[in-house]
Amino acid sequence: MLGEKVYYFSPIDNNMANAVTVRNNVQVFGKGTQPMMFAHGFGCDQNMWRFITPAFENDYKIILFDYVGAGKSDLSAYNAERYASLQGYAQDILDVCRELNLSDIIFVGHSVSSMIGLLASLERPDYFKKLIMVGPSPCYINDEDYTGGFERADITSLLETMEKNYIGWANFLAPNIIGNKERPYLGEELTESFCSTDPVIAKQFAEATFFSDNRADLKKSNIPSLILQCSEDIIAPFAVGEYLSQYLPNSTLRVMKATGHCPQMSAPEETIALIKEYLSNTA
Amino acid sequence: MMQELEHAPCLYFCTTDDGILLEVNETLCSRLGYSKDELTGKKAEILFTIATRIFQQTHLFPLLKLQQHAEEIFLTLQTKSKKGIPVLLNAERKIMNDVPVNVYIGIVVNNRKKFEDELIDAKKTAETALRENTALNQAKQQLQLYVEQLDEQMQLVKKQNEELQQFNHTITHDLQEPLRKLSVFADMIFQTNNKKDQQEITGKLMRVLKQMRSIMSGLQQYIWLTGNLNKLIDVDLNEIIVSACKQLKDDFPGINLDIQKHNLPTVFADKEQMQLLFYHLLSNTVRFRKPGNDVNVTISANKLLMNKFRNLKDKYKYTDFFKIELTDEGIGFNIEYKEQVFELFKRLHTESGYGIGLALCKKIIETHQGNISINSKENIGTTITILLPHNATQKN
Repeated sequence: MLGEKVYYFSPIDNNMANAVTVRNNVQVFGKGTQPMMFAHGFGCDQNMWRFITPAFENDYKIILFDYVGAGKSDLSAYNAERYASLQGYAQDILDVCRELNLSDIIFVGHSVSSMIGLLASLERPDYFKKLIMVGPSPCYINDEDYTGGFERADITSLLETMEKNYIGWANFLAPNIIGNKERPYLGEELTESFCSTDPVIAKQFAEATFFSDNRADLKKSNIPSLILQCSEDIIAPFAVGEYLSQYLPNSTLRVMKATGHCPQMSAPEETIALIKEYLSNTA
Repeated sequence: MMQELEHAPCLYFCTTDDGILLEVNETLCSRLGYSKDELTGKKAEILFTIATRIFQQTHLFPLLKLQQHAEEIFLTLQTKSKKGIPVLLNAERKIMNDVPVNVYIGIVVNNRKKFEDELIDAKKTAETALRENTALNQAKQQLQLYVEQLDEQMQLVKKQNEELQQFNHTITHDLQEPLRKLSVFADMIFQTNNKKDQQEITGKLMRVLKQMRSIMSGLQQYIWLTGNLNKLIDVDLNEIIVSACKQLKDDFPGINLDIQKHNLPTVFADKEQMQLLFYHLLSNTVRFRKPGNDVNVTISANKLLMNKFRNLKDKYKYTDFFKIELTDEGIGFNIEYKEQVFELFKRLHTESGYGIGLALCKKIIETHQGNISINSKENIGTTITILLPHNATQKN
C-alpha cells in the first residue's frame, strides 16, 4: 500500500541466498544426478508428493520445497507485495534453483504451480529442461470465448469458505491489535489441520491463483512440456487442457483416467507411469 | 444402514475416493430435497456449491488422503433447488473391504454462520480501520514534518529579504556618504596649493577611508555569518561570558565590569558565534554606560515552553526555549528606536562605533532559530531578551 515497488525477478542478494533452503523448507534426496523438482499447488505443501517421489528417487535428484507461506516455510519471509502475484512464487523457484546451483531441471508442478513453473522458465530458460504440468490452467475464470470453468462470484465464495475455515485463527500478518499476541496460533493442532498455515496468506494465494491469467505467456515458452489432464476435474476442466495443448508450444497432452484435481494423490500409479513414459520418450 | 443413523439429526454421506456417493441418510436427502435414488451412485459434487467443490479438491481431499481425517470443516452444501446450506463437517477416510471410503458427518450451522459472518465483518472493519489509521498517522507525521520545514523556510526567506534590504541600504547610503566625502576632499586637495591645508584635508580623507574600511569589514563579517553555522557543540554560557569580559577589559582599559550571572545554561550552539554575540552585547553595555567607569550587568536565564512555529498561523508545537535576559544600568535609549537598533550600520549615539554590533547579534540568534528583542528606558538602562530553542539547530 505504502511500501516500495517490488521488482519481481530481481536477483537475490547473497545473504538471503543462504537462507533460501530454510526459508522454503527445501528437501533434497535421491540417488540420481538429474534434478527433478516438485512444486505443490494451492491448498497444500510438499507432502502432497509423498506417493510420487519414491518412484523417482533411485534415478533422480529430488528437490521438494514449500512456497513461502505454505507448509513449514519461514512465514516471517512472507511479503504481501511479492506474493500478490504468481511472479512472486516463481521467484521462490528461481531462488531455490540458484541456491542449489541447479540447471536443466525436470520441473513437476501441480495445479497453479504449472503456471508458476512456466513463468519461472520464461525468466530463466536455462534452469529448465522439461515442464510436467499436473492439472494446469492458464486462467480459471471464463472469458468471452474461453472456458476457464468459473465465474468471479464462484471464487469470491471460495474465499468466503476459506475465511470461515480459518475463523478461529489469529492472523499474524494483520496488525497486532487484531492478531491475538498471547496465542498467535490457536493451538498447534490447528496448524496441522490445513497444509497452508496462515489465513491471510492462504487467502492471498487463492486470489493470486484464481484471478491469474497467463494465457498470453503460453506462446513465449519453448520448453518441452507434458500436460496431465484429469477426467472430471472441475478446477481444470477438459476444455482448459485442450486450450493449453493448442497454445503451449512443444507440449504433449495426456488425458488421465484419474478423476478430480489431485491425481498425484488419488491415482499415483497412473501419474507416475505417465511421467515416466514422457521422460523416456523425450530425451 | 442403522435405522438410528437414517433419521439421526445429522447429515451423513460416504463416498469412494473418486467421489461416488455410496450411502446417504434420510436426513440429508430431506434437507437437500432429493430422494435417495437421486443421490446414491452419483458424484458427491451434486451436493456441493462450486466454491465447495474447489475447496474440497484443494483442501479437504488432500487432507483426508494425507491425514485420514478432518474436523470442523466449514462448507456450503446445496439443495436440489441450488440453495446454499452452511454445514460443519467431520470426515474420516477408512478402508472397508480393501476399498477406501470417505465418511462425512455434518450439522447445519445456519445461526452459527450468521454470527460468524458478523464476526468476520467486524474483523474486516477493524482491520480496514486500523490500516487506514496507520496510513493516516504516517501521512500526518509526514505533514507535520513538512509544515515545520515550511515554517523554517519562511523564516529563512524573511531573514534573507531583510538582509537584502540591509545590504541595499548599506550600499546606497552608508557607503555613498563616505564616498561623497572622499570626492569632496580629493577635489579640495586638487584645488588648493597650501601645503598645510592639503595635510589637514588628507588627514580627514584618511579618517573617511578608515570609516569605509570599517564598514566594509563589518559587512564582510555580516556576510560571513550568513548561513554559516560551524559545528554545533555544547557551549557553557558562563565560560563564554568570562572570556568576553577578559577581552572587554583589554579593549576598554580601566573599566570596572561587574556581571551577575544567574542560572546560565549550556546551549547547543556554534561556540565562535556565541563568543561574538556576548562580546558585542557586553561591549554595548560598556560603551553606553553612565558617566564613570562602573558597569553593572545582570544576565539571567530560564527555560520555558514556546511555540516552535513563528510564521504559520494556527500552528502550534510547544518546545523548550532558553530565555536569556541581559540587563544593564546604562544610559538607555528612546524605545521608539527599538527595531532600528538591530539594523546594519544604524547608530543612535554618535560615539558608538559603526553600528554593526546588534545587527550581528540578531543574525547570530536567527541563525540559531532564536529571537532577540530589546527594551530600554533613557537614563535607566537596557534589557536584551534572547530566546534560543533548546534543540534549535539539532537536525531531526
